[in-house]
Formats: sequence, C-alpha cells, structure tokens
Amino acid sequence: MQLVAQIVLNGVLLGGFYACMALGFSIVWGVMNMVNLAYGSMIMVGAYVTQLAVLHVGLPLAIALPMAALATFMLGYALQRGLLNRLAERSVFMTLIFTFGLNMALINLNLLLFSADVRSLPDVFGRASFTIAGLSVPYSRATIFAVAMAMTLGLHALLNWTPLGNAIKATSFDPDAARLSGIDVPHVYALTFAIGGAIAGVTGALVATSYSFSPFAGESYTMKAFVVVVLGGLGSIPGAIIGGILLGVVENLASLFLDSGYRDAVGFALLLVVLVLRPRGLMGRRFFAEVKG
Amino acid sequence: MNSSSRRHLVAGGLSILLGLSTIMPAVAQDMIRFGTALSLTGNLATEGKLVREGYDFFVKTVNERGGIDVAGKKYKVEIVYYDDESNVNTSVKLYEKLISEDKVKFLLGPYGSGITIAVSNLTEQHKLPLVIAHGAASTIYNRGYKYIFGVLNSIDDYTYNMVKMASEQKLTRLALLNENQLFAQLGIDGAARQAKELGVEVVYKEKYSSGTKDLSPELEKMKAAKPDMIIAGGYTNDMILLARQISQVGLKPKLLGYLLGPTLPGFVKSLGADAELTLEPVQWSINVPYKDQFFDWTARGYADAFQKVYGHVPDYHPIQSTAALQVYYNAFQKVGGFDPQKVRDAIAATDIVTAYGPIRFNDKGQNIAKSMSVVQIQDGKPAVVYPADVAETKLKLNP
Amino acid sequence: MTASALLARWANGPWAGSLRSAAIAAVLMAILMVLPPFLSLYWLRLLTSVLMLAVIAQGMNAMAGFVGYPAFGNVVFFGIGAYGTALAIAAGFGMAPALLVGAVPAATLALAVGPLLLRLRGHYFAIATLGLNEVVSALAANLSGLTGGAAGLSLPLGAGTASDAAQRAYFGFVALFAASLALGIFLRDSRFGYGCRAIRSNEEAAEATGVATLRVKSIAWMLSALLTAVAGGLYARWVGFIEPSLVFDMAISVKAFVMFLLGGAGTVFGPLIGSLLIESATTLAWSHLLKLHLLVLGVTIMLVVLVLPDGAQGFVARHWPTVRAWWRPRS
Repeated sequence: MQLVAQIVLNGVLLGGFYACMALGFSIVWGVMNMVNLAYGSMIMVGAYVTQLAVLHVGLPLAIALPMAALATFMLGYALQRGLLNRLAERSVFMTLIFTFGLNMALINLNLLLFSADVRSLPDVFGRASFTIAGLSVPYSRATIFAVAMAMTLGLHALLNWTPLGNAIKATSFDPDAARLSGIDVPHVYALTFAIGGAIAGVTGALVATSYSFSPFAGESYTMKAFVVVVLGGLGSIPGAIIGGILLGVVENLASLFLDSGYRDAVGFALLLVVLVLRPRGLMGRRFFAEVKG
Repeated sequence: MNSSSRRHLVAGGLSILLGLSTIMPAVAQDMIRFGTALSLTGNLATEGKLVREGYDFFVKTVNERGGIDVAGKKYKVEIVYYDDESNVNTSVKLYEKLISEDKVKFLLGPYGSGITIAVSNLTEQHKLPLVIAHGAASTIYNRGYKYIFGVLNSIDDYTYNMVKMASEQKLTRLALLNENQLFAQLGIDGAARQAKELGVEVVYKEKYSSGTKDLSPELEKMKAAKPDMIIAGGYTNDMILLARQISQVGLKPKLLGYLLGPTLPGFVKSLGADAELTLEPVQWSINVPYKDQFFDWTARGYADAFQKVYGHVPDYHPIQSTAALQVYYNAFQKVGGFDPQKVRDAIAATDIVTAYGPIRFNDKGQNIAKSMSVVQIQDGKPAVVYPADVAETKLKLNP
Repeated sequence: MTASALLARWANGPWAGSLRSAAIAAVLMAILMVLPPFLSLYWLRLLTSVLMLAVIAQGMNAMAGFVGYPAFGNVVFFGIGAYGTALAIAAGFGMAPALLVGAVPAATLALAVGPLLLRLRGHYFAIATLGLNEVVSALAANLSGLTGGAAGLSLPLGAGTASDAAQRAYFGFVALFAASLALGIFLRDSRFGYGCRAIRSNEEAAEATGVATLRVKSIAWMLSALLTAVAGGLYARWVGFIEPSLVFDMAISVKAFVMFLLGGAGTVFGPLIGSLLIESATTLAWSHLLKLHLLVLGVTIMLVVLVLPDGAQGFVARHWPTVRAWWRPRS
C-alpha cells in the first residue's frame, strides 16, 4: 500500500510538471485557435538559455529561470507579431503546417548553436528529499511542482484580475468586437503567444534541471502538452492541472501494475476514452470545444 | 548574336556543366573509393563525428605513405560521405546513390543497428561487400548474408562480461531494465540468457517506453526485488534520468552497469557523484595489448597519433572505423586487385591483428577473435576494470 | 462527326472533369511505366519514394482534404499494413495475399473506431487519431512474441538482382498510385464525394439535407485506411526490415499532410504535386546545404503557407487565367 501511495504521489508531482507545460500550449490554442507544433522546441530554447546562464555565465538558477522565460517571451512575441499574425485569416490546417515548418527551423537553429549533444544541468537539488506521511518527496520534484503551481496561479490572476487578461479573453471570444472596442488585437495576440512562450521557457528551465534535453527532444513535450490540454479541457486552467495530474498518476500506475512498456499507450488510451465519453475534456467549457475545435 | 540566342547559349553551357558535375568519374585508376552514410546531423551527430574522424584518420595515414600497395601499384584512398541524419529511409537511399550513381563498390556500414539492417538488405542484393563498424545487433548477422562483416563485438558480448563480474563477485540478484528499442532490448535479453547460464538470478526484468519522464514505478518495483546488481540499457537521455532516480529512490546496488552512457560526453558532467562507479562495456580501450600488424601502432600509439591530428583522445568509435578500413586494406593486398567478389572472399578469410584488436570472421560475418572490456567510472574518469589481463585498476563495489 | 466536334462534346459533357483527369492519369501512368530503363537505381528509388508518399498523402487528402477531418494518426494504417504484410510474407504467403493480410485489419480498425472517433472535430480528431496510433504502436512494440517487439521484423531478401527487386517495388507502387488517383477522381466527382465535401463545408447543414454523415465519414476513412495500409505492405517488402518506431512514425502522416496541402487540398493530383515538391526540396537541401537543410525546409514550408494559402494548384488557378479556364476546378 505504501508503494502504491508513493507511486501516486510521484505521479502527482510529475503531473504538476505536465500541467505547467500544458498551460503555454493551452492559452495559445484557446485564444487563437492555434495548435503550436513548435511548442516543444520553444521549451528546448528555454532549456538551452537556462543552461547557458547557469554554466557559462554562472548565474544561480533563481535568476536563470526568469531569464529563460524572458528570452522565450521575446521570441514568442517576435514570432507572433512578425509571422504568425499574418496567418490570422488562414485555414486551421495551414496554420498547423506553418508551425510545423517553424518547428523544423527552430530545431535546426538549436542544432547549429548547441550541437546535438544531450545535455543536462548538473544536479541542482542533489539527491535530497524530505518525507511527508512516510512518503519521500525529492526536493527537485517538489520544486518543479511548486513552480508549476505558482505559474498556474499567476496565469489565473493575469487572465481574471488584470485589464490585459480581460483584453485577451475578449479577443478570444470575438476578435472583431474586441477590435471595435479599441483593443489592439495584433498586440494582444502577440502578447498571448509571448506568454505561452514564457511558460515554455520556464518549463525548459525545469527540464534542464531534472531531465536531459537535445534539439530533437522537444517533440515529446508538444505531444504531452497536446494530450494534457485535451484531457483537461481547452480553455480551462484548472482543467490543465487536473489533466496533468491525472495523466501523471495514470501513467505511473500503469507502469506499476502493467508492463512498463505500455506507459504512454495507457495515457493515450485514457485520452481516447475521455474524448469518446466527454469530447470537450474533463473540465472543458462547451463553447470552446465546439467553436475552437 | 542577339540576346535571345546568347541566353540560350549560356543556358546550354550551364546545363552541360551541371550535367558534367553530376557524373562522378568511374573508379579512377589510382584511387580507391569507399562510401558510407553517417549521422552528421541529427540526434546522433556527436557519435557520427567520432565515426568520421576514424575513417578520415585512416585515409590520412595511408595517403601520407603514398597509398595502399596493391599488386605493385600504389593507390590513394578516398571516402564518399553522405549524411543520413540517422534516418533509415534516407540512409538506404544514400547507399543506393553510392552504389548506382557514384559507382562505389566498397561500402562501410552506417551508424546504428536498425539502419544497418535495412542498408545491408540493399548491399546484399547488389552483391557488394559491406564492412560494418557501428552496428552491433545480433539480428544483423543471423540472416545468413554473405556480404556483411562486422569488426565489432555484437550485442551479446556487451553484457556477458558484466554478468560474469556479478557471478565472480558473488552477486546473486540481478535486475534488468531497458528502453523499448532494438539495441537495448537485444542487449538486455542477452543479459537475461547469460545470467541463467552463469547462475545469477534475474529478480526483475522490464522495459520502459522511450522518453519516459518518471521511472519511479519501475525503480520501486525493482527496489522491492532487492537486487544487488542492476544492468540497464537505453540511450543517453534516459540513462541520465535513470541514474538520478536510482539514487532518489534509495536503490543501492553493489554494481550498476549501462549498455552505453557513462563514456559519452555529458554523462559524467551532468551527473557528478551519481555517475561514480557505474560500469559500461567498451569495444576498445587504450590499454588493450594489441600491436597493429600494418601500421606499427599499439592501442596507445594509435591514440597518440590520433590526438595529434584531432586534438582529443579517441574513444572506441574512431578506432572501430579505422579497423573497418583495415579489413579492406588487407583484402585488397591479398587479392591483388579490386574485383568485389574476390574482395568479399578475401574479407571472409580475414585473420589480422589491429590496434583495435584481432579480427577474424565466422561464417555469419561476426568478428569472433576480439573481446570486450568493461570500464568503471572512478573519480569521474573511465578506467578499465575487466577482464584482468587488460585491467588498469581494481573493480570497486558500491558500499 | 469530325474529331474536333467529338472532342468538344467529350470535353464539355457531364463527365468532362473525370474524363479529363483520367486522361491525365493515363498519360502519367504511361510515362511512369516506361521510365525505368532510363533511370539509375538511385533515381528509381527516389521516384518510388515520391509515389509512395503521394499515395499516403492521398489517403490523408481523402480524410483531411475532402472530408475535412485531419487524421494525423493515419500512419497507424501504414504500420498495420506493414506488419500484417511482413508477417504474412514471413509465413510464406505470396505478395497479393500478404497485402490483404495487412489491408483488411487496417480497414476493419477504421470501420470499428470510426463511429467513436468521428464524432470529434478538428484538433480533437487529430489528437484522437494520434492516440490511436500510439496505442497500436505500443502493442506492436510489446507483443514481442508476435511482432518481434522493439527488435523489429526482417523479411527474407526478394529473389533476383537488386535491379529486379527495385523494379518490383517500383511497379507495385505505380499500380497503387494509379489506385490512389482513381480514388481521388472518385472523391472529387462522385455523389459520395459531394457528400464528403458537404461535410467539410458545413457538417450540420449536410446532415440536415440528408447526407448520412457518419456513414460517409466512415467509408471515407476506410478507403483511406486501405490505401495507406497497402502502401505500408509494399514498403515492408521494399525495405525488408520494419520496427515499430519506423512504421508508426507520426512524422510520416504529418509529412503527408503537408504534401497534400501544399499540392492542393481536395484535388486529385495535389498529393503528387506536393510529394514531388517536398521530396525535391528535401533532396536538394540535403545535397547542398548539409547543416541547414532542416532550416531551409522549415522556412520553405513557412513561406509556401504565407504565399500560397491555397496550395500550388490554387496558386496556379488564381494567377493563370488560361490554365484556370482549362482546369475549371470544382470547388
């Protein structure tokens, strides 16, 4: 029983990471109906920036992380303002393959700048862990979970308690009405994509500390984010958390009780079941699922 | 002439030039051409660079001496390289190009077992020799092909030494974990078989999906089985995560071995103390006691000469590449010519000693004369600990 | 009646579009059939690859271009076809029955999960099909007793010389390509095809006007699955070695998606055009711009999306009135 509880807890911690990662993907999709296939590569950019800052400039992680977020924020803003805004009237499919092309370009850039070597930051948190109710919690995972929760709260606050948040929500519901009420829609789109980028940057910083990364490693993050968002429901921040945690727990339990080779498949099977039974996701709002699909 | 016909003339001229540039000369009279596809970009680019350095080093060495002496005439060598980005379809396509367009008759294997299997199908059908330096899967060699030859030890030998070490150290409980892909799966399945032969009990054996971000379920299950030795296989990404999580979960095996990982750049750097005392089987180390019969190198001599050119000490990748070319070198001299069929037969009868090790092929094309050694990371550096005749230092167990 | 009058009647009758496309297809086939002696094995291989991708892209086109359902996970049928055919060949079956062993399970899967998944739209359908691919891929990778697991399956070499094997693969794909063109013409010009396009423009309206949407979608997916699965089977025989990560690779579907979109969604020859474009661009970039080829490809795709929003055929249609008059694309 202890073992199962530990595995579930690990799954929750992992799920926090998944949720954090999914937020950036979700906000861009929810507001602009754009599935960003280059998302994983943006996470990688965040990881590389973090590594540069920590290993080559010698900054502590607490500073490197916001730096990575800033770098990807700016990258995101530039991309949206400069390129993606031109796709506003295009078909959904075309936008998809545009981000696909963007992903290829970003991978190559990362390759050129950083080579294909697999990298990771030397253990920032060490092996230390603390215990809660007899279950062990490594500091590294706890920190990731804490950062993820902080970002979620921050995003929630931004969207619901600030004028920018109102502008973003308004634009997402009806760009024309938003334009008519004086909102600078291209700027709002750019900011939204930039926020998604910043979240990717933070995720990348976390990846650098606990996992390893390389230019090609971004793909799996894009897919995971996609799954978590659909699972939890588009347009819902609590949904991203629930989706992420559920996925983490289910994956870990599947690895524990079934053949570990089925881990990802079980996650996807869960996704399929949820989609068939409740197409808008666990906490998705009807409006989003139908209009934005 | 008027501008239109001038344009036509220029266009015509350019087309002819373009056409000429795409026709490679047939094998030039004093040049031997080899061909291979490498992972120069793509996610195995680091290994690909090492592979290429080994080939280039051979070319440089031989050409500096005036070339290979075949039947009294000296031939310089060159290698046609293409980048396959570690992609199976691309690699096969490029080998077809080497054979059909570039008219290369003597091929060197690509990097990676899966790709090698696909490429060997092509070369076998073309009845051209393929000397493999970087494909260890046993499934490459058990199809009865006549034109493929691997200078390296195949996957079964990777784990044999480590399992033997376990039994010699009286460790009786072995845990096995591998990534669900070709190389790692074959390796770990081999380890399980060898454990059975050597009387070591396999208390845990599972595979995990590529790219898993949390191996704690597997490791908790493993911990419950109380292993005293762990052997794990996968690519570097996962091995770093594994090493971290093994200590986080509180697993303390007496010995921990990886199919690959510890000697690649970045592993020790990323893991620090968690990399200490990990084991890895290596195809070659700088201490092996062989003297090259062609070039007067010892293993150390090769490493020194290599370092002078490339600025770093070679791991086993470059010398493996060099060894493959030495097989051809020997074959050309024995045949006194370049007929592919005769060269193939000469390769099959190879019996040489190189700085990489002795090379002699069985009828499956595997090199049965050489053995592997095992290194252990001690103080952040790999040191050979097994077998005894090549060990630099003693094996240390985890407390 | 004079020949020109006959031609005029033929070119303007109710089946004009289909006949025209069929004529173009016939000419293409004729060219493809006589090409091999003029090509080195390398170019033959490249062309075979182009045809294979054009077929897979046509399968994607059937679902995403005609019906409007982006089946990103369509590669699952490629994988099923590859494994089914490989296992059948290893068991001693001939090529044709082996292809059936690959194609029938694929079609069955499409029909079985169709009713469940085709209720989803757009991105949701896309991720659901990706999920399906992932589940089947995991089964292939784990049921090692049947499929060889991660170690993959090797097929015995085909008989004859390298040239014989290459030609067999080539003509196999040429035949399949012809079938894919026929499917394209069928989807574009038949009543069934109208149903598909009605679903793409407005599914609720289509339903309201009596189109049996679920049946149409399922049949379209089944046809797409059949085409893709046979491509997978031929591929397995061609390369002689398959493993799960190779034949269930999502990149294949995504590439096919890019191809038919760039060539022209919902058209008969779009997939071929897209396949030619992408494969030439890839090969060129590879030979000349080693370290930058991904960048070049990515930028090319982005540029094409920005400049040619309707794909290559749309571009042609918009900018060359004479071509447009002759082509008269159905919208």
